[in-house]
Amino acid sequence: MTADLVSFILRRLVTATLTVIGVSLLIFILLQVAPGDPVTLMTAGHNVPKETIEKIRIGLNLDKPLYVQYWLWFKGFLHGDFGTSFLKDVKVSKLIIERLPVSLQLVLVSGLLSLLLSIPTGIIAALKEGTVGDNILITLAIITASMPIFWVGMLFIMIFSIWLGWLPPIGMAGFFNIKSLILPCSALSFSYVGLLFRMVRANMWEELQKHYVEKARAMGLSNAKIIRRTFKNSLAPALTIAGFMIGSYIVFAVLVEYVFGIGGVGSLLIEATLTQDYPTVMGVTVFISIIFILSNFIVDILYAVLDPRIRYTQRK
Amino acid sequence: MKKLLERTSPGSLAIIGVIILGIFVTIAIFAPLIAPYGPYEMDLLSTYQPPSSKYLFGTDNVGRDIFSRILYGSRLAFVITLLVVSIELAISVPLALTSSYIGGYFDEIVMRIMDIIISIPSLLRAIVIVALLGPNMRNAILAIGIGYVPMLSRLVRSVTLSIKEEPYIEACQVLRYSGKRIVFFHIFPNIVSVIIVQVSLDLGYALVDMASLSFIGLGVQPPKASWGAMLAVGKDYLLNDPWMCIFPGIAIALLVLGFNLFGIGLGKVLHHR
Repeated sequence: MTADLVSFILRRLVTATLTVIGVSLLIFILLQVAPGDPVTLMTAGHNVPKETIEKIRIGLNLDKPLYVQYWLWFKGFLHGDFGTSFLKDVKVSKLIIERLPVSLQLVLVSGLLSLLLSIPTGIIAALKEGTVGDNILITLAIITASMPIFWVGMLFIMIFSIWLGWLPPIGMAGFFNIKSLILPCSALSFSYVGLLFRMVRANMWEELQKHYVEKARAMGLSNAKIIRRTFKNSLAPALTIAGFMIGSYIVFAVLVEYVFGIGGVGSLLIEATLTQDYPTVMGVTVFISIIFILSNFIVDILYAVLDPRIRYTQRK
Repeated sequence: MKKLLERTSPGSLAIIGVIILGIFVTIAIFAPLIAPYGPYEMDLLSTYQPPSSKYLFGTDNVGRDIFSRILYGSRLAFVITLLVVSIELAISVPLALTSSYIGGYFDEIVMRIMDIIISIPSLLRAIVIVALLGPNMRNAILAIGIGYVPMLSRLVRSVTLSIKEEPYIEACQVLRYSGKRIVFFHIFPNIVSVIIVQVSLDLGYALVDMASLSFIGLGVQPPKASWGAMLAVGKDYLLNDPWMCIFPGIAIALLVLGFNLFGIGLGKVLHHR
């Protein structure tokens, strides 16, 4: 690990941390804007005497000035406390952890699927640039990118579960159960597979135009070796999208979870939104954002490891 | 024939996109003339009808003709996406132009704020804002529109910055043109092409995001004829009455395809120059 790599990592770490703080601040401010007093919402429909309401307010620190409230809220994060749900009076973090395995499976498998589908086809398309096959692939990529994922999910259920009866339509059975994972993950991967494919193809094609490829060909190097080399060089930008993808998938998983009746972190968010359970909405949002920032951070580091030039560039 | 297919020009994508868009625009404008039924017309005796000659795409759970609702839905689709994009443009373009032109601390702060907003995935942003403001169409449009601001501002800003260094801008400064004049008459025209491409793509994203929000119940509320809301209703009847889901989804996919083809094709054409 060279010195500039270390300094790059440190710089990125600082940026990421500041961003996390910024996000929590933003969410906190938004929370204040929300109409309705949290306590009123909590006690809606029940006949609660005034003293109890006051007690609750003090218990939730609502009587303290805003910046104190924020500080307490933020301190909670550092200890992994994302608030307490209005509805179920359970810690939000507990709710999230319960749902996490499902979401993890969905996101990881879908991410893998997207990469597995887009990278080989992207490389092939670049090699055969301009041919009929290439154009068909591009058209496919754009078409799949235009389809809303929850609709794709419903189509899959219709085709594969109802008509063909191959796969179970809803619910998750056990851990990494391929059968129940295929449909939702395929639907989820649709959202980015087209974009990834086009990126890989474009980068690969640009690399192939470079002089060293011509030279290698003239030297008689085998095609396989050339492809390997160019691929490594063109990998970097696709990686950036991959990092972005993971975070986005957690959110898109919301829709897929809803269609397939799977209970992941996304469904938690939706339920909380529809029941006006603000602490849960905020807690889950900050949680997902942190994961998003984290995955981008990791990808940035990987990018720097692969492409040394990046380590020297300042933020634009 | 094969040679013809091999050399598909980049412009052809944009043209197909324009054709698709044109079809939808025509449908939107002439919906009342084409649609056999009104969008809210219920016939409780004909609920859950499969597609037939009477009801082209079938009926939904309260006996409304799905075909007519899809035609009317195109109006809503255009209104929503255009509103979203207008909000996005109205905020990001002036913001990015002035911010990059002024530079310095102001620029830094604005960009940091944009970075923070981008750190929350787009759908999540929209969900949170709608959750806080209340689930209706207006808030959803606001939420999505504001969410697209960082992307566009970044784009406009980077293009502006690269133009700022050009000699002819310096010449304008030497001639003591006012800052406003330089920004609007010299920098802006060069940015327009980039903006148009991004905006066409954003129209498509806005439609999908809006449909997604409506699907979860956070966007357009019933009984409005929005394609996303129709899918939300149809979801529960997937097993027995699949037509309620198939057609609205096709409509969304086609219109988004139109926007995407147009935007991507346009982008290619501009790059080839």
